Amino acid sequence: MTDARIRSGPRRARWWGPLAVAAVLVLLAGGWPLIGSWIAGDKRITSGTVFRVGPDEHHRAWFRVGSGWTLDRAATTPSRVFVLRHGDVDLSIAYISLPRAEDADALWSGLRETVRVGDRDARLGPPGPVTADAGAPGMAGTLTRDGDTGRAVIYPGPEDAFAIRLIALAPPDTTDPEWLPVGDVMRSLTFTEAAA
Amino acid sequence: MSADGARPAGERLAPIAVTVAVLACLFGLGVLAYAYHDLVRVFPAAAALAGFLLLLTLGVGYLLPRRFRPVVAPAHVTSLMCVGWGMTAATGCAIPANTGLGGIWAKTLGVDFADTWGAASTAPFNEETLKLCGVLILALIASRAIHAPIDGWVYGALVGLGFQVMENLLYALNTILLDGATDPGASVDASFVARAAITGWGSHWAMSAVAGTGIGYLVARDGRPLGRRVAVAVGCWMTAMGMHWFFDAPLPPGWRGTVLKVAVNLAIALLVYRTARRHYLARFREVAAEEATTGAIRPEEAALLPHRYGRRQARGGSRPRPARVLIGEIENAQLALVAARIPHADPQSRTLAEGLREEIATLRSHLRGSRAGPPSRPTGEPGGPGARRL
Repeated sequence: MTDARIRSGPRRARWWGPLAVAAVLVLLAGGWPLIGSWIAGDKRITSGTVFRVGPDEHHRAWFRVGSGWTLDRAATTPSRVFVLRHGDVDLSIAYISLPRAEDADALWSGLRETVRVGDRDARLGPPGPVTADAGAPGMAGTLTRDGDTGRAVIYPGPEDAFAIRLIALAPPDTTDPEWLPVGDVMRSLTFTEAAA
Repeated sequence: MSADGARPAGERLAPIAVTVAVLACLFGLGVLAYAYHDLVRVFPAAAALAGFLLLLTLGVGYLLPRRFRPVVAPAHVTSLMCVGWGMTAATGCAIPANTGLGGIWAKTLGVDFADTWGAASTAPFNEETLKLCGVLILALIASRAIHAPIDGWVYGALVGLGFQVMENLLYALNTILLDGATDPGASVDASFVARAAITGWGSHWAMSAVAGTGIGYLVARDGRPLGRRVAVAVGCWMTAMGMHWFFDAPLPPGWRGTVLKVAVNLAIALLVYRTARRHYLARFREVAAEEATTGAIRPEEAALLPHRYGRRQARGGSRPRPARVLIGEIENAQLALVAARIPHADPQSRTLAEGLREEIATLRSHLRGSRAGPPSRPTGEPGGPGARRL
């Protein structure tokens, strides 16, 4: 049977049409990242600034940063994650949603799997107890990932409705004084605004 | 034409357009693989579950828009091309595009603005444009696949479906990390329930169907002024972006807001569908009625031709198989004849129509011959259920 649709495309658009489509793809997929790379992403933070992480008023935590910290704005989403930098140390503070309270029991084993995304050889040490300055109990352990070493801390939130995960990583030769401000931020975490 | 899809167009493919489409899909696939292969490696069982749910939603979703196409479903090859574009090229390009533009908002307008309004300020433009490119590239590869705005609606919905199911998969994998990998399987399930069962009714497929309708209006050879066709296409694209913006905006909040957004987007998509369908069927019936004077389509055939069930009934009954095959071929030729004449301003329409009328006449004579031959004359014909004089 003859198919009425057997014929070629519009003659005029045969070459520039596809090239226009390709240009749109290149502009969107390459143009925005290129423009973004021209804009500085890091913003210096005023000492003593208190940040709030979490999606709503019932699921929030606060932490305080001292001097010398910068905020990676492109990687930061206040409802989910903050990415900070101090010298060679990268610190992420992430909100972890827990659909069920019993999921809190699997936070450390879940972190062990999570850190393997991106580095199959990442190693997370066993958890030890840690207490924030405002009294929130948590767990902490050593972490090696992508050639960097550091520390991971998890603070389960009130009633295990959510948790806050802090991961700090730096090159192995980072000195103890450089780690001190990191410990200060990690211990500053609190689940009550008044204590922030 | 078979009820499960029109035959592939079979037209000469535009090599540049095919090359662009293949490269874009490969690029998108590469981006997806690069971005998510580690997640799949670490969480293979959850990823397999997400893949299964993707196939499930894709299977159901693939049937609906094709079934919605009046008269006959589009060819599988063009339908799958659209789904493939949505799943690979559009989704893969959207990752760097959204990350890049989202980063610009965060750096220039602040992280709080980007957190609250970033999705609504980023995804509508990037994603609606990338999905629309799938319908455009189809029109450039196989221009005869799009006869009318309704074809743009269907193909747009299929591109959006591909995007939607792949995004569902990626969101499900991301949810594993957002939930701290405490229960990867449950995270995947919850993500799919929310995105496929609740928001899925008014998400990407609906937006792209509206945008695709504009491309259908733009490329259908209806003799309308170019400026008007471009204006309608741009209007549909902007409407789709508006639907997407409303969907991603933080207002109205809560589950009531989500339900409202889904309902509004679904209503807009169905309203556009209703208009495009009515327009298409009116033109179909007009052409079929005109062909009564040529004898290619008899009035009683014209009444049955737009309906899948009617055509099936006409082919059915107790006729011998050769007669059923011939009746099917006559229907195919009649559908092709109407399809060729639906565009008002197609310069090749007359030539094609003449050839198809001759073909229909030849097939009718073969059918009469098959009936005249002794053992092949069917009992109970004419006058059986759905019987037609052909």
